[in-house]
Amino acid sequence: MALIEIQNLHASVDGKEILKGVDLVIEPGTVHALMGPNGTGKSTLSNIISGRPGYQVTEGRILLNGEDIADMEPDQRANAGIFLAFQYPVEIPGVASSTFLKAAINAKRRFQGLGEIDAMEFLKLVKGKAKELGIRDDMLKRPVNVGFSGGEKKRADILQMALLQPQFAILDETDSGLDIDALRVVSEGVNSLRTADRSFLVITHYQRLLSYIVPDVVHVFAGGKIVRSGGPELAEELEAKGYADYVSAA
Amino acid sequence: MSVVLSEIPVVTAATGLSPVLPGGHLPWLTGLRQAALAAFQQQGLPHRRTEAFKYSFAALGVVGKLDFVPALIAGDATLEALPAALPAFDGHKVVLLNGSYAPHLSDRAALPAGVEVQPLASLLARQPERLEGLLGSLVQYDEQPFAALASGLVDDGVVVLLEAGTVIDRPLHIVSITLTPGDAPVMAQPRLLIKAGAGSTATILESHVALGETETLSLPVAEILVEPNARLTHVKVRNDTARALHVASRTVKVLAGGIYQAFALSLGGAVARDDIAVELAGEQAEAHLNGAYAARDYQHMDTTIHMDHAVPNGRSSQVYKGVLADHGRGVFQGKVTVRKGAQHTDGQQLHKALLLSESAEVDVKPELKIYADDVTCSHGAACGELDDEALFYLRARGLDEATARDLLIEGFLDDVVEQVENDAIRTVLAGLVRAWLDARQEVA
Ligand SMILES: Nc1ncnc2c1ncn2[C@@H]1O[C@H](COP(=O)(O)OP(=O)(O)OP(=O)(O)O)[C@@H](O)[C@H]1O
Ligand SMILES: [Mg+2]
Repeated sequence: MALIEIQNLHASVDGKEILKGVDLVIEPGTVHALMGPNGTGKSTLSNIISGRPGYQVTEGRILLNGEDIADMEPDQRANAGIFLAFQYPVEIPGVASSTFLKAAINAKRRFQGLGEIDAMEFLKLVKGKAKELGIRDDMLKRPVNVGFSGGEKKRADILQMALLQPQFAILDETDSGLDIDALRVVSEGVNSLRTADRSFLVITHYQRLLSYIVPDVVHVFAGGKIVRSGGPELAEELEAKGYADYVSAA
Repeated sequence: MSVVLSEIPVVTAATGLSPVLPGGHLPWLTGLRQAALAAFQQQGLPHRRTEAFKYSFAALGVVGKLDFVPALIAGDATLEALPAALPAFDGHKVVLLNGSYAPHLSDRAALPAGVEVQPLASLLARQPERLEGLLGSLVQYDEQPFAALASGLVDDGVVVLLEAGTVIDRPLHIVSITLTPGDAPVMAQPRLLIKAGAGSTATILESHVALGETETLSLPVAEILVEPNARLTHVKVRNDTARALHVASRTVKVLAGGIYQAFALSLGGAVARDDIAVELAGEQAEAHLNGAYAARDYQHMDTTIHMDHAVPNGRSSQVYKGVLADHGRGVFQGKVTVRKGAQHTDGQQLHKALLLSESAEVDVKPELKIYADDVTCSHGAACGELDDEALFYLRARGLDEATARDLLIEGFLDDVVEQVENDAIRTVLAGLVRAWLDARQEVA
């Protein structure tokens, strides 16, 4: 069974149709890349999968492990294994990163019927993962994303992913704003999470990321839907030729 | 004998009381009490035209409708141990019960040399000359009827005298508990007088707790003198039961190079008002007033500040944040005056409110009165609901809606609580904010 199956998804914001029939099947253990021009609905798709309020799904459905997720709240989707690394991670003044991470871990543990994480175990876990991703200890003490640079915010999101170990992760332009070293570190972080039952949807504008996180399938997204799919070589073709063919077609 | 504020024979009654109050034999003190009562009589309780109480006179109308009885007449309240509502805090402690010193609850044993913490009544009995010219020297009665009334009845409280250069190791905790002893609602006027001698450093935590199911009226009056280069940190916490009324007046004078760093956390009660007037009277003086409040049900919380830059090169800031739930109402009036010649003044003010319900309300009145031309002054006010983006971010990480909302509300307030430098006090404050949220969850 597919991990994620999106069938003929149509969605709009304030009456304006943005998604115009998205079809996408993601098998367990695969990495799918989604590329396409600005403003065509890639983030909209990510948000809708994650359950963000404010969108009207007018047609079609999204299945997670064969179950329609339409009635699930964002937190239920998260606990069921969906993770979204935001294109623009949000700053939350006053809430310490460590408090937030602990709350997220405990929410998931509660969902799994486990008790709260032990304080020492939590510290060890977070510090270990943070170190792997090149995140300094002092960042964990600071409020969530506040005063973080663009790249630091992206790393912080990947840290959350590493801690929550989702089944299906969407990385919405996680590479934008990362320096060359960070790109490698973050990619390694993602690659280390690649397992037979975990899948990724990687949204990016640059082929470079895909040379680190090698996708199984590449999709071209234009005009609110997937217009072409292919192997990794498709990304190279796009890098060379741009989207001109697809924009006019859409 | 009962003193009924609504009829204002309180003045006659209080004049009659004067001789039996502590220090009743002292002409200067009797004069002070009478002048205060005259000021109260002349103003009456705040009404529609009392500009300083524009947003709060109606909420305080209840004061005139109930027969509050001064603690002296209401009889002694008894309390065996400190109440749980009080922040558990390890420090030097002096406790007032209905405004009167409660020795069995206090602990002044370990105060360092150079620090004097005295009950006002006992100092008036033993060495009144040390208070003459000091007590009552800062308090203002103009549009401050409650300060006038409280001063007319001034009987006990705490006097803190820091000798020049003294440094207090641990914070001093001044506790004021209000509790109606019988049936008649009690009125107390805990007095606080602080003189931070030149170059001294101290941290004072002032806690106010009203207990019980009956109405109480607490009218704290604080006079604070920060002498040259002294550094005083003053944190006030109010955590009252539902029917408490609290109208506090504070006057602070900061001399050259002195720093007055204040924080206020306001929770619970029916109506609360914090009136703070600060005069930066010496050059390079600083005052920073920060605070957080959270009002629910029909609670009304008013903070009124007057920051007066009297001389050049002063720095002041105010950052207040309020959470208004249910029918909660917040009022923030912040006035900054820069007097003629007070050049190079830096005065900042910011108020942020978070409205959690359609019925909640906040009134903000910033006022800048600038008579000097080379100054940096600003004020800002923001008022909004919980940030949808932040809420979704948290929920996308698995936090259910209630938990996510609470975390954001907590963060909103903690953001300003963080300003408190003392770790132990900051922890106490954060704990109270958390408890407030948890109590709300239980009701919901
Ligand atoms: N809340 C909203 N209200 C109105 N329009 C919206 C809203 N959210 C998205 N849109 C519009 O929907 C379209 C798709 O936006 P989306 O963010 O999904 O694009 P994208 O493909 O992720 O673009 P990019 O590559 O620039 O990130 C855009 O035209 C955008 O302006
Ligand atoms: Mg996007």
